[in-house]
Parts: sequence; structure tokens; C-alpha cells
Amino acid sequence: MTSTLAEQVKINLTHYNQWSDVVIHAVSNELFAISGKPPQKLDDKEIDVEWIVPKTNSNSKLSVDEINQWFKRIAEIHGNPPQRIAIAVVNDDGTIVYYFIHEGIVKPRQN
Amino acid sequence: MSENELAASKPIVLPLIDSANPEVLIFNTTAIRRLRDEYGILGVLIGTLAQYPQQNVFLSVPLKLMVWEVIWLFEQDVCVLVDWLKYCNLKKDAMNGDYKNKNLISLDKKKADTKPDFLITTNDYGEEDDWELIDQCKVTLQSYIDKYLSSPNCKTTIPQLISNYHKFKHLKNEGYFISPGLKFGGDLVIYPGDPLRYHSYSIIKFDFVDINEIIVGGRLATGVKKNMIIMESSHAKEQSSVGLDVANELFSDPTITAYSIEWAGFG
Repeated sequence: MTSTLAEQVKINLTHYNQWSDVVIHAVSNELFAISGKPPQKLDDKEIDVEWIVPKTNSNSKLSVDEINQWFKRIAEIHGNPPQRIAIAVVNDDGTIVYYFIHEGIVKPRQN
Repeated sequence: MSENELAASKPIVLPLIDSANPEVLIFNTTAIRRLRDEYGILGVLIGTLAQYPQQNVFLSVPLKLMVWEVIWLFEQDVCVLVDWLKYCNLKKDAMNGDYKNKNLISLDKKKADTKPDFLITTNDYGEEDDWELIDQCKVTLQSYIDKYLSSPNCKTTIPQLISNYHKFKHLKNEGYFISPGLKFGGDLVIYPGDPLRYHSYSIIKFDFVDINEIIVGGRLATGVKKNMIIMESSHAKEQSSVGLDVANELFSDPTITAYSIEWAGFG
């Protein structure tokens, strides 16, 4: 179930958003993370590989602890903690939206 | 020591108005200025301008303080909370006859000694704070919090109050200026400096329930050039509130974890 969620996000990233090198990592039984490269830089941050965690929006809650786990686990497979993680929220009608999550209190992009 | 320096070394008087539904309302402009300049405490001006009662863009005294701001000032040990009704009554009693005659006016000269018809009030409460009387009217943090929690409008529990205060304190100690967040549907809004000079950075949410809230909050925040911040305190939430030393718990410093969320701009 969860892996199909990750597959869905991978397809969306590759074919709709035209990302390259999109890879699914089975981080743990419950957690799948996706790494990939956007076609052009998303903002002025020097980020090579973006990390994405898929999540369904129906009935699902998210805690600060859970996000904390993502950063820890991804740091383990990536080598160092990612600057940010994008959460991909998947609806059952096929819509996917992406939100960036940064660790700590950071300046908003366009302030 | 000059008079100004002497005044600056005194704690800030926080008048507690209406004991049933406690509100800290400050009319004294010197105190308002000190709160902002020395402690970065903004509060909210809630009074209308008598000349322009139909607008609410520019507001006037009193300055209302959020409960977090009051607790924070307590923790810094820079304020005294004063039962204002009691203080005013004591002060009135302590005034000499001259003052009474000047301010209480009877229309009928003959009944000057009986009940007066009018009382003249000045814009400011005028006189210097009377510290002898203030000492008699002090309210403790514990009794303020008890009153706050038992007021009919309050939906907060003690553990919530404690954990939310820790989040406020974390932001305050990081140097942010903090305002209430209702305008953007959050709990707080933070600014990197005085809001008169800076746009706000972030909308703070203390608690949130599901992923849709991240989308709604994140999209709105990005739309107004901010981000949304969710926070959690390591302070144990499940503690029973019985026999809890609230002040002690409030003044502890648990680890705060925070994440900033904004729309990714694609997808």
C-alpha cells in the first residue's frame, strides 16, 4: 500500500514535474523516501538532491516526532541530514501537492 | 541616579482588571513603552480613539497583554501584577480631602458634603505609582493562572497552558517579536524585529490535527510571504494536573522542536 503511494509520487515527479534520477528508498517498514533532481533549481538554495516523503491525506495525522524521524532516517541513508524534506500529499483522485519542511525556524523564501 | 533611571529599575506595573475574567490592561504609556523597548513585549492596543470611534486601523490604550506575555514577564521577574480595583479603592481612600473636592462635583452646592453627582477622571491615572499600596495589592502568578483557567471563556487545560508557554518562551528567547496569530488563523505570528520595521516571518501553530491543516496553513502562509511553523515541547503532556506546581513547571526549559513549512512551488 505504502509502496504504491511512493510509486505514484515517483511517476508524478518523473513524468509530470520532469525530475531526473528519481529513486525510491525503503527506509523502514512504514517509511518510504524518494530522492530526485528537479529540472531546474527550485529557489536560490544550493540543493542538489531533493528528498521527498509521500503521505496520503485521508485520515492521516502527522506529528512533529514523525517529521523528526524522517530527518534522522534520511540522514542515515543520505550521509548527512537534508536541508529540507518535501512532503508529497497524495489524494485518492490522483492529485499530489508538495510542501517543504525545514528543520527549525527558518526565514520564509520570499520575505 | 536620575529620576528616569530610578523609574527604569522599578518593576513594570501590570494592572489586572476584572477578577472574574482576568485581563491585563495597561493605560500607562510609560509602561507600554518600557515593555516594547526593554522587553520586546508588544501586546495589543484595544482602545478606540475618542475622536475617530468609527475606525479600527489606529487604536489606542489600553494595551492588552496575552497570557504568555504576562507569564514571561513574571519569569523575567520584571513586573508586578496588581489587583487594580483594590489598588484604586485604596488609593482613593488614601487621597486627601483636597483631591476629593476637586474631582467630585455636586450640582447642588448645598449638598456638597453628601453624595456627589460627577467624578472627573483624567486621561491617565496620573500620579506616580504608589508602591506602598501596590505591595498590598499584589497578585501571585499562581492565582492569576487559576483565575485565567477558571474564567468562562477559557478552553485551555493546565498541561496545554504549560506546553504552549514553553513554545512562546522558546520563540521569545530566540529574539522574535510575537503577536497573536488570529489574523492568519494561527496561534502566534512572529517578526524578526519590531513589527513597525519588519514584515512578519511566520505563522505559529501550537497544535494541529491532520495533513490537510499543513496544506491549508502552508498554502496560506506562502501566499502572504510567510511560512508556517509547527512546534512540539518535550515536556511530558500526560502528567496529572493535581498538585502540580504550575509556576515551577512553567519556568522549566524543555527541548522545543520546530519545523517550518511552506509550499514547494511545484506539483
